[in-house]
Amino acid sequence: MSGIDPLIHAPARLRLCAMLSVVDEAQFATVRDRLGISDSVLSKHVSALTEARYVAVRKGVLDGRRTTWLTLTSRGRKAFADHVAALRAVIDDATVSG
Amino acid sequence: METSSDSSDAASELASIDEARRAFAGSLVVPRGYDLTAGTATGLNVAAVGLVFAGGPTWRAILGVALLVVAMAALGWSVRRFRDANGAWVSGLRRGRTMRVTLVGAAIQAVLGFAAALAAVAAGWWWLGLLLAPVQLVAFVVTSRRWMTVYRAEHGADA
Repeated sequence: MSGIDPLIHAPARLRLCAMLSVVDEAQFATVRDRLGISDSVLSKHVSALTEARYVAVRKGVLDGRRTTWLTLTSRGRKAFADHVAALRAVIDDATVSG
Repeated sequence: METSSDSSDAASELASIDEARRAFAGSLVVPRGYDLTAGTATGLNVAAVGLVFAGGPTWRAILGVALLVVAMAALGWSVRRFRDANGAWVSGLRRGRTMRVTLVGAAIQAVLGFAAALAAVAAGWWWLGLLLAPVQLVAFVVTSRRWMTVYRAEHGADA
């Protein structure tokens, strides 16, 4: 599948980006619970996406607790939109040729 | 050349994306009294404009500034309640269909605020902002609820 971004192709990352695409920012714990994965697994995904500057991480404090907030950057939003467009193109091509 | 397997995988991925978006957008809740609190804050802003711009007795300016401080605190508290309730934040400034509702809401507040300021400066009607504040409150509540409806529909979470 051409045009597919390998960095966000993995199912968990795809759903992570999809979730972040509908909000301005989301708490790490909220995303973890929604995805049904562990802290460490989500941390690895977030690290990879942060390294590519697709996701930004912000530390905060809530009721004395340290919290982590995740944002899909404009670069990440564009990459995700391009990825979705590529998926649609694959389906359209298959429909036309089929 | 794309294969039917590619197409099937792509369809599956798109379905997963749509489901994640729909589920997360649909899970967002507006905390009880959020509209009223934030709406009151924007109404206080309109009232404060009239008091600050009218000139005259010092108490008016002090009251105007005090109302602005209370309004900012109320807005901040509202945002925090939304974040606490959802573990997420959605601002009105995001791109998409909701932007039109945001612009309508901002335009209403700008017109009311400008009217309050103009009346205060030109005619000394410092009280007009106080009269327009409830109008702003109602406008905010209506546009805020409309915004959430459009937001949920945009992500297929309105069913």
